Amino acid sequence: MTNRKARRKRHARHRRGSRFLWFFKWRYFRWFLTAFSLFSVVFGLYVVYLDYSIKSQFKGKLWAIPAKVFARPLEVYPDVKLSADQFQNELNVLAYRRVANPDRPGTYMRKGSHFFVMTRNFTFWDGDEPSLPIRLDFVNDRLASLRHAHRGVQLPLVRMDPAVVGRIYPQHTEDRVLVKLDEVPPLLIEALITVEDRDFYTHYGVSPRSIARAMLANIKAGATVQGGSTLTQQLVKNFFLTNERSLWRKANEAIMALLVEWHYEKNEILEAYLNEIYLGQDGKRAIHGFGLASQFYFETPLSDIRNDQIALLVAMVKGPSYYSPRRHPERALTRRNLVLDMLADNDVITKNQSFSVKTKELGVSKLAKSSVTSYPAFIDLVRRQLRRDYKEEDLNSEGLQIFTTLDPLVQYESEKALAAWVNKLGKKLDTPDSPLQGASVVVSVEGGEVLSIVGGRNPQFAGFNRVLDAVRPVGSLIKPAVYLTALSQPERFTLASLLDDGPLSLEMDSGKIWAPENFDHEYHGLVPLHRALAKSYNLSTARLGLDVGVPAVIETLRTLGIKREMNPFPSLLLGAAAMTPIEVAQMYHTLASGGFRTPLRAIRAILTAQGQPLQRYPLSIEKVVESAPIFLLNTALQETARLGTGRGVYQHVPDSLVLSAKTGTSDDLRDSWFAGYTADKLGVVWMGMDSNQPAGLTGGSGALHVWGEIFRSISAQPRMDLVPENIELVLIDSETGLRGDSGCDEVFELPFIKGSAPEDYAACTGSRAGRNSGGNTQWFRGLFR
Amino acid sequence: MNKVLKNMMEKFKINNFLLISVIVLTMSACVGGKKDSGGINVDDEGMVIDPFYDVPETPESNLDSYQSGDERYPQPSTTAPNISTQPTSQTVLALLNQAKIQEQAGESERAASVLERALRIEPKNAQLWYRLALLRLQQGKLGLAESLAAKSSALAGDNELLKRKNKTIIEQARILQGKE
Repeated sequence: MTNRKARRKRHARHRRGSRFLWFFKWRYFRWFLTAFSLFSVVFGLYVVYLDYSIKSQFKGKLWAIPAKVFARPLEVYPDVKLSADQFQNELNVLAYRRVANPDRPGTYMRKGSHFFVMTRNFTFWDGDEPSLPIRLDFVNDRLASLRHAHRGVQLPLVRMDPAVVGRIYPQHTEDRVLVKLDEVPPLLIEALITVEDRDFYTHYGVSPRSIARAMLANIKAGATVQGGSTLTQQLVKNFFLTNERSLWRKANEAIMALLVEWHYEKNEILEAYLNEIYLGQDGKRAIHGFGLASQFYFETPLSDIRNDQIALLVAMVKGPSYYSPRRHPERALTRRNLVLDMLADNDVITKNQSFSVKTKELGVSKLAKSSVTSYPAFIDLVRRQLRRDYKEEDLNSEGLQIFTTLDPLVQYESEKALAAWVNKLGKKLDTPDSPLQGASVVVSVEGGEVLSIVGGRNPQFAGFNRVLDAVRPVGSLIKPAVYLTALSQPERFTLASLLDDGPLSLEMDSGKIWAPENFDHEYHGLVPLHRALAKSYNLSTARLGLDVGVPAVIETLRTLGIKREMNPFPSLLLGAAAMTPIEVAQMYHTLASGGFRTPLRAIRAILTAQGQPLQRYPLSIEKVVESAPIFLLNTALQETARLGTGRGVYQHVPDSLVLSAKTGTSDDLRDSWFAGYTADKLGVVWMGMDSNQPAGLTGGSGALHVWGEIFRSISAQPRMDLVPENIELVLIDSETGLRGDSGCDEVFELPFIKGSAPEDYAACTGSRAGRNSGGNTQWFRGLFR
Repeated sequence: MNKVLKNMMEKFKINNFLLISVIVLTMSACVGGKKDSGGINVDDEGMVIDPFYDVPETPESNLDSYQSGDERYPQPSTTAPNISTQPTSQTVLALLNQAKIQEQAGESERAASVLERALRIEPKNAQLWYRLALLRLQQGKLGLAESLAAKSSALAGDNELLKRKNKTIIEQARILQGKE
């Protein structure tokens, strides 16, 4: 019994033991199986994921092409105000080549003030502009004649191609010129395969033969001297992976290369490679693909490059910065000749060809100014306007063509004028931590097009854009809003109304006393309204503003286009309100255009990469102020420029340039402003310190000079405001503000809204018949007739 | 040359007169107007307002005619024509013709863009503002048409005829907007 028991026990133990072993083995195997299938699933999923990302990259847009930003095209037509040198500047900006016989698009010949130009063809929003041979003759800063260079017939108008002024990049600033396989010189492809991947047409994405060959070479050399990567692997690496050197990356690369080969034809892979491979750096801009590299290094389209240049490009694939022909010409030359030897050894070219090509120099063009952008402040405005309508990724990937309003000639003169005067005035003022700064914006009067933006004293610096972001107290620049509010009530105020410029103090709700003073700390008694504005008197202006009401003045500012919130304090009347230069430009633009408000625009139209119209930003105007009060105000602002605080501007511009203008100075001379407009252009200039320390400049001693310099250099038309129907001109005795005549000491011929002129005659008028003209009417007459 | 000009002037006058009658007739006939998807319909009984109605039909001033080898090219004017009282230059006439062709091809937004291009060259040309106003009226952009017509009048000086035409546009735009 005990035996049986014991046997049973033993048996059971044995049975249990073998079951345990069996169980252990089975569990082990199950674990293994589970782990394996889990791994397979994960790996499978991972491969599917890789496959998906490869397919979507290939199928969708292969490459992010940055949007190209164009300046306005220059219009040349008979009698346009344009000098021979300005035209030359434009040709330089457009990179036209000066040649003896201009027979190819983009070339010209100049003899004094005569030009022969072969223009480039270009697709605009409204249609194609064909390439034309034209002859231009300039006389005295005007285009005297525009003719077809061969037939001699006069042409009414030619539109030049627009200059590329910038590109809109994503974070990684890649750029490329896409090429199709059939546009690529066959030698380039043969050379590339010979040097980089001899088995390209036979392998499946990874080439064990190449790897073995490379390993052998590396062991021999005792270092990594050769890579076994196929073109497919290189493409995958460029497309998806980082530069990190790890087994994980290598494994990924191999799997993806196999997948790419599985899905795509060799030629598709090759074309992708030709467009993707990294070939150099231009500042922040990465040069990708042979198409752009050819432009970048030789200024020649890829289809036209010579054999030695092909060899150089292929040589650079191995290490674009190490073999950079601009920075390391000797290394590049050695490597190029090595490539030529390889080509000759493999019978791609003959030994003789190789020999003759090897004697050639590198033939690399000089590096032009980095073409990311020369106009960061303007591009900044373009980007902000675009962001309202487009997603950022569309802007930097779809290759959109953006046609802007930038006028490179105006921009150039604005940058020059601002830099010159900021340097000059800044010599005394610059402190190490805060140099004198400035900003300027010029806008077309009738179109509201932004022609130039200078965001600081160093226009190449893409930092703080003062035109758009410097919010500064505008000082007296606000006054025209006060006067316009008053002049819109002709039954109460006219240009001849006498205002009290005596002491003023006002107790505020807070209990504080507001007691403004004039800039000269004097009182001027009773002054006519037009003079109070021209001389920018504070006391009379503050009284006038209080009379019409601060809320009414704010309403006027809204009407003129200011959207910013403003506090209805009396100090607003003297310019405590802070604005950016572009806001000031918007406000003055409504005055300049005669009471028609136009949202300022930096973009005219957008085309797709293929030249299809996508969107247009049309001219939009809205009549917001009656023409009569605007006319009165503009007259008084002409007086400001001629006789008032802005008269210094005529040190710069000729007397014949009739213009309306206003100076602005903030408390303690912290901000110096000038806003002015001619018939066709409006400019706003600001000067001051970023730190808000006093700059020691008034509007008239600082910003005015920059404005004057800009408008002296650009073409500007004198204002000739047409007198609205309901305006009449009346002689006024300046002392009494009543009707005057030659009997009075000083009379002005002033415009009045019909029915608002004073009816009474001043005592100085002896007889009504003698109402001809007084001594001081001369300049005013000039304004109207 | 003078004869040609005279003829052109006469044609202008007649055309302007016709245009006025068309607009006035249209206004009296279809107060309220009909709206369709492409803008407003301002025609009635086969009469259509055409902003390029009185652009002279001079093949010489057509930019495209150069390509077809026409040697009779117009002589450009010799003065800066940026004030409305001065005659429109050949440059702008060429653009007007281009806009007219595009308008006839149903490309009204392209026509508008060509008119804007002309306005950049002669920003104070009241005729151009008027044509743009008419084009916008046809497109049903009534508020814009009204402002453009007002702009044209502000620059028209003593061109009473043009001012009357603008006034008609403004009135029509206001009626269609239900302002009057």
